[in-house]
Amino acid sequence: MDEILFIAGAFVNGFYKVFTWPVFPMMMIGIVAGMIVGLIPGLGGLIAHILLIPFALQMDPLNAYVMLLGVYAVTTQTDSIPAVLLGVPGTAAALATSLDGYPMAKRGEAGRALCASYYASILGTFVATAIFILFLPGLRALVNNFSSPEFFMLVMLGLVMASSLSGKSAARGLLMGGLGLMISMIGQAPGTGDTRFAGPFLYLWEGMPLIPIVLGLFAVPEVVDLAIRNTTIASSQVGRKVSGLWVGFVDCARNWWLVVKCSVVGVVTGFIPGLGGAVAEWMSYAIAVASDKNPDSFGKGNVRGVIAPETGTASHKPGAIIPTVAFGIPGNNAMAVLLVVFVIIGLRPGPEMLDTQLDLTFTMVSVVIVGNIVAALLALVLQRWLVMLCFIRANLLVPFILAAMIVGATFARLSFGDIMVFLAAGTLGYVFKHADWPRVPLVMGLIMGRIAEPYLFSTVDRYNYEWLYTRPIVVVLIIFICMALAAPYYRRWRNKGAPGARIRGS
Amino acid sequence: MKSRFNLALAALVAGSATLGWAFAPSDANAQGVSFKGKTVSIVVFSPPGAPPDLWFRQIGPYLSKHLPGNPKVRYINKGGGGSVVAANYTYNALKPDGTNIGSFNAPGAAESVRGKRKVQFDTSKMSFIGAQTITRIVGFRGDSGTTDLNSFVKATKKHLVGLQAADTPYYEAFYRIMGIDFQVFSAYPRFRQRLQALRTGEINTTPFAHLTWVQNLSTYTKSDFHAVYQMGYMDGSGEIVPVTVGGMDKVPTGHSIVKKHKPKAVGSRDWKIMTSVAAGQGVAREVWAPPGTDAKFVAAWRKAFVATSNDAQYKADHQKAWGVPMSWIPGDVGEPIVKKYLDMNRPGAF
Amino acid sequence: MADPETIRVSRTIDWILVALFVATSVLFISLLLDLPPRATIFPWFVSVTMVLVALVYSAGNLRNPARWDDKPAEGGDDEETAAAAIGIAALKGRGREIFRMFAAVYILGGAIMLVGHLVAVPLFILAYVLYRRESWVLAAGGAAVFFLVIQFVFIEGMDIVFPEPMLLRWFGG
Repeated sequence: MDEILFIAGAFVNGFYKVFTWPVFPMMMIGIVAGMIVGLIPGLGGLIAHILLIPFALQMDPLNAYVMLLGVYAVTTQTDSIPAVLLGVPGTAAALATSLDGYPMAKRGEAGRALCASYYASILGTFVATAIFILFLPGLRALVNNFSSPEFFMLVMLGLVMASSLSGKSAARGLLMGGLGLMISMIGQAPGTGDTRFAGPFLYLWEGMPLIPIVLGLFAVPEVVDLAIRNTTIASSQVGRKVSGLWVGFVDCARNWWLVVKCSVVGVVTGFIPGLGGAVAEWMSYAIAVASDKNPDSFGKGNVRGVIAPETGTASHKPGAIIPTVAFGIPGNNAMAVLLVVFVIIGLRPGPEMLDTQLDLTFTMVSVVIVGNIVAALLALVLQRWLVMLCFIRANLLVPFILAAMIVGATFARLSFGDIMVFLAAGTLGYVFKHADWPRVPLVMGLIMGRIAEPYLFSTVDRYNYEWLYTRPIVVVLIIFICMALAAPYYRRWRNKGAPGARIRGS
Repeated sequence: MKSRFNLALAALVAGSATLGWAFAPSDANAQGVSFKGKTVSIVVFSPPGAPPDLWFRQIGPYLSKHLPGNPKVRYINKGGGGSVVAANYTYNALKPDGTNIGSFNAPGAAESVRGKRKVQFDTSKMSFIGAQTITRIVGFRGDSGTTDLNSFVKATKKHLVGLQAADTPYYEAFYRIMGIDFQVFSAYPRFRQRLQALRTGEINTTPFAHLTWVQNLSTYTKSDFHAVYQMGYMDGSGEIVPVTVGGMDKVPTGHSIVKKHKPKAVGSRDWKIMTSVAAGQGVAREVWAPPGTDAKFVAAWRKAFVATSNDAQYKADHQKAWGVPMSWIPGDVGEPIVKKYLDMNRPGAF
Repeated sequence: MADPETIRVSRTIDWILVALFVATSVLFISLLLDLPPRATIFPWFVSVTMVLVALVYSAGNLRNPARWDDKPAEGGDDEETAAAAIGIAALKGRGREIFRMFAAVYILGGAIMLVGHLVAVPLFILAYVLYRRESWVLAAGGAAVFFLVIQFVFIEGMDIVFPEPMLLRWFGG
């Protein structure tokens, strides 16, 4: 009890600091910069961080932390705007949101989808913070039990959940997931450094870039179809008058249990260093699909398909701060960059960040919470005009979206190879979409393959094959994987032949 | 005697920056160069936000201050391929008009003499501007049973070593010489994964960049990690010497351990393998001008880097950010070291 | 139920994709032979699994060729995203439009490689909007906005170095 009171007291102190001068304006600079770059497909928070780093290096440490964390907090919130309104997921994090958000926009419910995503983000960070305050000691112990075998199995669980829930055929999902894994293996082999499958192309030494592939696979087919239909994105005029402010809130409130579940997933995956937000996001999406009475509605504009990934991503963020500052091990890629900068500025990661300096840690967490709220409010103010994008004629909209996408794709490596990958992925994406081959497992394979392979390598090197039955967490994860694989068949059996959970057109 | 020798070498390296600046040729050659109103570009061999990138972004404003005409500095990030991507880009894509320079690391430079198909640069045609020294400090978990040199040479417990692929030959050769039971795990893609593995006990030893070690010394000490030996680096005389900054003078090099405990192995094939890797640490983060760059521009860049390394404000900034002073090897001092390092890495060198 | 022509096209595409997966797997396996065994554990596992799953999938297709054929939309509330808009049937008679649209995408990509982002992107917007017979003011305005954003936000403001256009490289800029 004393420990919880100490943690709660540190939270109050940390939260209060966010509103002091000049901490608050510094955070606002970060938030505005993060919101702007989040809106531009392909840019992501890294560019905003890089732009602000020279200033951060000259600033008082606390001001620098909150400014950079302001960027970190909001980029994955505003990236849902192009994903929902235009079907253009500018980051991997926005992909899951666009699967249901864009069909909602087509129905004229863009405002509702966006508001639901903002509220989900805010609630996710709140629930995540509450979980920290209550369960910090337990989470600390959890981190110390995660070695390569556990990492590998957790990543495989995320992959299997996404593959088995995507598309009307499990075999198609597995094949596409496998293709994603194969693409992820292009480049240098972990452990040996040998270049694999790169042919004569130096560009491929670094592996295949993610963003041009995501933009190509998902956004190009939508834009091409929009141009061919030659209508507006929204087929219904209903949404023109509906901001979605209240409906989005009701959606989140109705699905409060889903928000809690996804927040737990986000916190745990954020807390475990090295997993990244994609695992949190897709596990959350899979939980939403698996727990829905009508799983067939996902991919067609089910608001739960927006709430779940947004909650998972948002709650992952404060989670990732803890291992970064406490152990010097970044919880995700963005935190890896921030850690280097924080250390340069003067932060010394260590256990005292969860003890004597816990209020500083909670100031950082609070920036994420406040950042989400402020960004949501700013986005709501702009929403009225943003939603109008869905009512612009395709003839005018298509060239701008295409141009923004191709520029965004080039940001990956600033090489013409990015454009070639984007064009190839776009063509394949169109075929996959209309032949009803699920594209989500491909992207999942690409993301997860890069994380999974080094861990498999280390695991087999270090433990041979004993790890499969001697490590309790691994055994639990294997059971979860089996359940995820069996879930569609079980559901089909229960529904007496009705099709299993699937994400149409994903 | 030995400590005096080390001190002398340390002084040589620390003072080399000043010496390089003081010697007239580069000054004279740089006469008449001005970058006024221009933008100069630095190719960085890492993605944005990684330590090398931040190091270059921190030094950029000072370079601008010390380059004639105070140009604007911009950064071109070309990460990947063990820095070969950046080297290829520097060699092939940069205009040799004096406004562009590139960077790559020592193992990347070594690729140029190994005859691989995808390596499209030749350091013999480029101009060396200088390099930063970064070596490796090898840390052990307390429960490994190895906490200092004494327990290291008498080690009975297997050493589970987490490594990066490029450095592996050094450690394998060193362990073979010392006769200590070891197993290498080189699959961890990033330092952070190795650190987590060290924390959980999946491995019990791993090397740290000496900057990282000094920066996080208090954290690592509390985590019961111990610095036992270091890779060291090659100085101008061709010897492998330790870094001495941040209290590292108490951490011996692998070479000095071999000399003391396995003297018969000095000069052996494994010794040469160790030397070929350690030699690169002195010129770890290299800066080059593309082929065809006029000598007067090369001289201006060399002078700017040396002036920056002597700039009091930059010294303070570097110390604050990285925990150690900047160890800069000027172009004229570093050139023979790079040549030796490359020669040792040619196929069939030993 | 979709018409026989659509079903035929749909099934052909399905077989082509399966063949593509198998061919990719076999290609990967053949490339693995030159690599040290330590670099091939995961690729072997994935490639072989791919071939096996593709065989199982093909066997199912041969046994019941009709199982993935396009079905009519299930429910009338979301026709846009249901099978009619997603499946091959939705594309019937639109081959020329699809070809034109992809040609536009590829022309944009090619033009960027030849003359660079700063020139190609605004030109593309101008040409596309005028080709679609929209207002030239919108066309010119849109092109100008993109030019300004690329030049002053990305290149000047963010110091982003776009790749050098090929024409400039060939003719020595």
